[in-house]
Amino acid sequence: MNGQARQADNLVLPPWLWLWLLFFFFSIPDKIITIQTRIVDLFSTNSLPGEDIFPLGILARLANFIELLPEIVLLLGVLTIFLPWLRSAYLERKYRLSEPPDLAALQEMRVFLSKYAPSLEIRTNILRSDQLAFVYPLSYRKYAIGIFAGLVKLWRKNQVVAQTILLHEVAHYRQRVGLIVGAGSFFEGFLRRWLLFFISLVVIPLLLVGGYEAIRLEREAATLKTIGVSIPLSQLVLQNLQNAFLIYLPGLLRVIVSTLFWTISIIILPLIGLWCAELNADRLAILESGSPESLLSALGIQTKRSHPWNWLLNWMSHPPDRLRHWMARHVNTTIGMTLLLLIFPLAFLIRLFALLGFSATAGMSSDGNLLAGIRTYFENSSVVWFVLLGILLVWPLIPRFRDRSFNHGNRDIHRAENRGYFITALLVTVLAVTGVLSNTTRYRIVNLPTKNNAVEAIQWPTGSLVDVEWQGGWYPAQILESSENSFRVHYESYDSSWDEWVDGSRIRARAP
Amino acid sequence: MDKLGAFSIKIAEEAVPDEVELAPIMTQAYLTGGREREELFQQPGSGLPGGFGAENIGTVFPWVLNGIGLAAPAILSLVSSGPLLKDLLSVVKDLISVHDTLKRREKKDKLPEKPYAPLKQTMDIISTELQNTQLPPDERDLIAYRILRRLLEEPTNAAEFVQAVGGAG
Repeated sequence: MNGQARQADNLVLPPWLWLWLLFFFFSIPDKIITIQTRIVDLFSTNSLPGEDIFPLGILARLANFIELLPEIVLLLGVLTIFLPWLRSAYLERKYRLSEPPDLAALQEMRVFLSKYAPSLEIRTNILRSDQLAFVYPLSYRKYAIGIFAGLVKLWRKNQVVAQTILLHEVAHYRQRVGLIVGAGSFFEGFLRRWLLFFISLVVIPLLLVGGYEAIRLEREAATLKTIGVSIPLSQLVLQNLQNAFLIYLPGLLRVIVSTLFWTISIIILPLIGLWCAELNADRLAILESGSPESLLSALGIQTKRSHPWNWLLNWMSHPPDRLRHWMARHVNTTIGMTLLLLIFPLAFLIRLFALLGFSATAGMSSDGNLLAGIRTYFENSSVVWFVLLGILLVWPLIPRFRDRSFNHGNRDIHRAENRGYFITALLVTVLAVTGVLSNTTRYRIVNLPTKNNAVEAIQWPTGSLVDVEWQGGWYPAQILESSENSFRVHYESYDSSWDEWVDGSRIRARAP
Repeated sequence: MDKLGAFSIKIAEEAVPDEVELAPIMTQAYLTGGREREELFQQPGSGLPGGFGAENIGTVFPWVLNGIGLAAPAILSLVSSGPLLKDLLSVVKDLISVHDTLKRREKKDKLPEKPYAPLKQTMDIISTELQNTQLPPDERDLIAYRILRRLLEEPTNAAEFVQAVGGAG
């Protein structure tokens, strides 16, 4: 350790997770509309399109629920931010965390932690070793660190590595991200169980529908036989195979892929925000310990092959191992800092691809016009790009963080950080300008006088429920606002990123 | 600290020095049974929350206690073997001094059943139990021998400890 223990907040990255939370709060009204629509679909007494084809088709409705689930979980997860004591009660009960016993190793850890986080409380369970340590909130301001037998052992075995792990947890405490994510949060719990939900609510119901249909065909054949009409066995088998390969499997695959895209579009921002918090915590641990070796040593243990499912689950709470290794080795370089800063803005682009993938696989974009989707996304997210840009420009100038957190008394690190902020801000500027240009282009198109809007202009009042034409299909939507003959519409069942301005010629009264 | 706690430290010193501080609490939890004992065996999977590795982080002492508990009848017959104790102890020390694992195993297997059957049995049970940890085979064998040495060096305390642990199992 370099002995430069800092007691103030030590932040390197902007607080991306808190920013995501802010965006999330703004989008809650839209999310409630989405949830309402899907719940209405789920419990509707009328047959939804397609489900009346098969006798058990109603089971396919459960697939709606899997699309609804990420939204509900995120909402509940955000609610737990306001109930930190509930989460601490859950964690302390689950892991049987209590006041630490009188052990020399724990006292040494307390002394070490008090240099970096004097108000961080310590709870322990030194019987189990399936955990090392994690930080969790006790209240809005108070946090505790849970320490387990494995870390006590590591403290004796390799104290430098154990200290690095504690510093990593201290960084989480300083970033105050434990309120949003971390052990016991709804968010991680959902991600860890998503596959189970998916199999129960999508795969099994669809297989049941397929299985029932196969039985029904055989029964029909048997009935026909009793009245003297015989269907050859080969024809029956062929019919079942055709159903399986031409209807059920492609349908199942389409649902799987579109659900995957949908889930990615919802979870990608908080997930990447979480990764950033982890990488930031790694960075702090490296800067405090003076070298990446102890962190690499702690991480290196995990390079052995693990089960693919565990590997995927680890991704849901931590960045990929290779990325962490790479970042640890490039912590003081311009490229390392730029990538660290750029990851969160890039998540918005990944979200765009996921939304486009969803629209393509869920049958929304029939003619494959991706450009329109991209333009709509940039139009709607231009404010986001400017907010990101503003933060990137202002954050490194805040003296409190600059003095205490950014330079670490090292000019090289300081320079790398400044360059990283500059390059990232430049790239985000490009994205922000793209959004503005998309808007300008749209206005130019919308304002062109056409015969259609000159003669048949209808002034749809705000709140009207209408159908809107989008790439050859008509979709139920709601008028949010209007300006001359252009209307901002929200597509029902789709989140606000799909909201767009359309001219009156694309709107018609909702079909009864 | 009670006698059992004190002896658990001696066993941990032989088996896993990194876990010496934890040994009395773990022994107490093992003897208490129920959820406390279950927790001792909640070992790391392939990844941990916190994203750090799991190898060598899992505790070994609970498996040592389990091994001693399973081998209790054999150990009790060893520590109560009176005049034979000295010979048994020297055989164990001799086996520990053999550095090559295969040769050590060969030497152990060549020991006659009488009076060494309980010794071989104890050794095999503890070593097998330690397979649940991430320790390499050679280290598992050595730990088993070192535990055996400590038990034979203090037969009275060992008998009390083994009876308690065996009875709890």
